[in-house]
Amino acid sequence: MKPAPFQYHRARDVEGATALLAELSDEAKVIAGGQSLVAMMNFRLARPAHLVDIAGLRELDHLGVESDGGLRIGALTTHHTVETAPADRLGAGFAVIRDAMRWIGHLPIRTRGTVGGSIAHADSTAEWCLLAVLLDAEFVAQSPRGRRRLPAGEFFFGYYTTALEPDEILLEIVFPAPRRTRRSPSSPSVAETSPSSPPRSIWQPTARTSAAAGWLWAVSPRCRCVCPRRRPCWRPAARSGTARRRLPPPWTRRVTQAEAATTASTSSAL
Amino acid sequence: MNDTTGLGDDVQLITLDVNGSPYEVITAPRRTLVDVLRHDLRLTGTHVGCEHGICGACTVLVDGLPVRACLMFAAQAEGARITTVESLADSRTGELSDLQRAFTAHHGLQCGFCTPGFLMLAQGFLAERPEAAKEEIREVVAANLCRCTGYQTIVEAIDACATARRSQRPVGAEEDSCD
Repeated sequence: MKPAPFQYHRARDVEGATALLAELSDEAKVIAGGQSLVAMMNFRLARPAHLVDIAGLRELDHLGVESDGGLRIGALTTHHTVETAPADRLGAGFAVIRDAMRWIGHLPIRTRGTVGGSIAHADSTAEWCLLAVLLDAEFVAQSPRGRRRLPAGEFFFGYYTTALEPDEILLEIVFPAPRRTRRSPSSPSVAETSPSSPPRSIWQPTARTSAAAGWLWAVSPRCRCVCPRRRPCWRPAARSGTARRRLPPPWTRRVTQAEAATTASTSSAL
Repeated sequence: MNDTTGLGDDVQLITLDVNGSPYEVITAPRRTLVDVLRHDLRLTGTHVGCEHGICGACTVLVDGLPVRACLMFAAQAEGARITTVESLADSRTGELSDLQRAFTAHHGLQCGFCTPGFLMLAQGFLAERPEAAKEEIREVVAANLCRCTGYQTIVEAIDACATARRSQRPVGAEEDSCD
């Protein structure tokens, strides 16, 4: 199919883009690489009245290691750039990030798709969302009200639903320097695994990974939950029918159609 | 223009650089790059299949890298260097490029619908990774769908082209013999 009509706006700077988004509110979507959004628009699953193209903001296309050993990745950096980044730009402890890139789509998708787009899209099967939660990344976002930093653990609410406001743009992702985990000091953190380690090491159910994986497979948005924890909670809402059922381990849990529909109706990201 | 051009839509003037030639197109923003290439520029070598990024028939090069022309609006391609399958053969003599000849020699096509996509995928990939091993080619080729050949002959064609190019000039040379 062909996409529904929309108006196209090309952003010249971040401030102009966020001001335009604030003006257009829910009618606008940000487009960067468009590898998820255009497919959804072709199917008319998404019908934004306005597209704000931020792909020209080259200042958001960067990748480098900070002096403290952390890794900063600009939102417009493509998966292919990360995949082919030399070791000195990616840092010694982040080989897992480069190794994960080959699982994203295929080469022609990775040449266009961006890191920030993948995270803001918040597909629960996305490699970047998983990496960000597992490695305790922080996101920097800007709106007309200024900049703020959001921990990955508090960013994702559920399928396609994030803490980003409609007038906010993701600027960069900051991964902290690799370190041993606090909760399971005996096991190495994911970032410290060698490049040759199989990806399944990510799924070893340590206390840390199970909490993160729990988010990725959970259906219920955490804001509906009465749980007092600040971090995302994979438990379903206490008032929902699913609360009384005994749940399988979160990383193996399958989502029923009814649950997915409930989430879709509460999702505002689409 | 036909109906799908969207005369009722908010039309824009965009300038595209396709195969080294500048084109000015008045089109609706919702027009994807593959539709502009085929309908407005009449470059029908690029095929369109699934329109959601799965089949790869619409693969073209944007700034030298293979991309899905159905997952990109034409307006997004303004300022970029677009290369389509029409650029491979010599435009004056019609002589096929080495990659196209390799596809012919290894029977890398049957019905041919997917072939432009595979050619541009291989063209972009080999330009970046001229030393690619057969296993890498096999993985990259998985990006596109072919329902005829079973892929084996496509992998062999691309591998043969890469091997021939490596033997012709020192590894690391950046000039592309297909341009």
